[in-house]
Amino acid sequence: MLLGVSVLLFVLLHLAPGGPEAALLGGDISKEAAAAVRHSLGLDQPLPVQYVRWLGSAARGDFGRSYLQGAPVARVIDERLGATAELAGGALALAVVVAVPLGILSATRANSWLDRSATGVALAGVSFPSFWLGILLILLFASTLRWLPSSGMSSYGLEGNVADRLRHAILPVVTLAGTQLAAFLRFTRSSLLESLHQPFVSVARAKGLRERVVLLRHAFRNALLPLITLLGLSIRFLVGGAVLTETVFAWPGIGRLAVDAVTARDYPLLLGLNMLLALVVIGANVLTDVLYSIADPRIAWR
Amino acid sequence: MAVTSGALRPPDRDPHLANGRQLGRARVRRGTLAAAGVTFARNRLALAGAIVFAAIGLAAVFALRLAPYPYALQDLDHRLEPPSAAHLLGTDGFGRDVLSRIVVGARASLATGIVATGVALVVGTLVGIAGGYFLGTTDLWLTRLTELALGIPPLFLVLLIIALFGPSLRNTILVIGLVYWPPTARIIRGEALRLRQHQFIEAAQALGASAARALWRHVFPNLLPALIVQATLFMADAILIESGLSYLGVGIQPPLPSWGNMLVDGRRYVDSAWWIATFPGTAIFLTVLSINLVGDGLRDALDPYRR
Repeated sequence: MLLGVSVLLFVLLHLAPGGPEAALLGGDISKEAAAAVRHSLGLDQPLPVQYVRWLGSAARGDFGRSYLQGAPVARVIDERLGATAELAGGALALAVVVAVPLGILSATRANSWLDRSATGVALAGVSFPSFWLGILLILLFASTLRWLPSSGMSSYGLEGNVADRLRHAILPVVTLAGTQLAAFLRFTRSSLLESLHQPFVSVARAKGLRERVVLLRHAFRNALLPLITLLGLSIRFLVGGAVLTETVFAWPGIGRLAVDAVTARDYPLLLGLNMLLALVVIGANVLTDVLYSIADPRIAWR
Repeated sequence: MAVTSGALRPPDRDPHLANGRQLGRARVRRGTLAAAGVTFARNRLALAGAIVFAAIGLAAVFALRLAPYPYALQDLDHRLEPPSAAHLLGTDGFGRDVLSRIVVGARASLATGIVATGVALVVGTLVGIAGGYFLGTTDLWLTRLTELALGIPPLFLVLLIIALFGPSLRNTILVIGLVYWPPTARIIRGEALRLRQHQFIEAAQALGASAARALWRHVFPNLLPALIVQATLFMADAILIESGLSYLGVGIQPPLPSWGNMLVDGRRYVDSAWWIATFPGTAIFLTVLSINLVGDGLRDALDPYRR
């Protein structure tokens, strides 16, 4: 799987017209200078040779040096990873904590005013461009009310101050959580509604179990599986959302790093980033399977 | 970005179970779609969505006549002016009329929505139908390819390809379509797998129909309901993706207006010019919302269990 992704990206990168030499040297450069740069980066070698070389050192944990920053790719990514993890983790947690209980309430009181307003807001939420939500939040809370800062992770000179970092994190985390939250809410509601109409729920009620028990132990537990799937899939979209959120809030994470790497044709950095992301996606899939077997004992964990 | 592709939507039940005993192509199509049309028309929200979407579509078609100013006309004496009688939605950092740019920007968004959806559906359907019908090695490789494509976060792949081949309206549309086909392929494969078990497919084969004929005349028409729903839902996503790319500067390039690239100015002048941050975003929101309403309505109408 990782191999497949790396081959695909390698071929894609090298098929594309124009190389990193133009971005490195800028503007008009002589053919000789370009060739010299390509030679020094090893780009004049045949593609399979380049790939095997990259793969060999990658297996030993060496992903090469970033063209732009000169530092090893692993270190460049490492410096930025924490910021994105903080942002994405916070957003995911916020989305789940708000959306799941609201979804349960919404499904149990189907067609009540609460359900109607929750589904209405959720539908609006999935139609909202997340970066626009960010801009609107800045407009309201940073520009007009001046309550919260609009960019960066911390104020200058206050890097170690936890309260200051939290204040900086609020708007980006809410922005990134927003659309995920809407999707989770819609999903929790519909999958719980579906399981509430199953025969075993009627049986549980007929047995005289309390509604709470019926709802949480029987109906919700069965609605949990599709929810876990969604959670696993949402990692891929969180990463995409992080690129935009980080751009809006000048948040120093890997999303912005990726945009910079793309414009500069920083091959080693791009490959490294994508390998990391593929790894995260695979990790999320494994975690999904593990959670499956916990939520549903019928699924044996091999 | 609200990227909620088909894969993330609530699980739908098989819309064909109820039609399992209907034979042939014409009856399935007319029966299902006519009934669906009635259900759809009764759904007020969906109807409202369709009307709003039609209005936006008309605005896009007649954009150059409707726009009060040429969209690229700069007027540096009137930069960042708030909404007024002369400029209903104000002016941007170059003194360009925001309303005119929004109206013309509808073209980029709708073109992306429609064409990218078309590309994604054609690729996804071909891959899905081939895998689900032929099974065996073909299916194995196609499924593997689909999963490989699902392994890379989609926005990253789009960013990568666009940066390499250069940002333009055409590339934006093509890349969105070519990157986002896997969810469709998955759904169609599942539907095709289920369909090939039905007896009317077996009957067609027994009567000597070629694989291509069986697929085109018997399998494909029965996939239409799933495809129509998938198309509307994906169109909403495609428009969101385009606006995001344009915001990042790798989508539609200025001076050509798109709602996404207008918001770059919105963020830049957020402290002084609220109108640039608000109106283009509202346009994206309304368009995507109207499509989602239509999509939800269609899904309810085409799924016999939800009627």
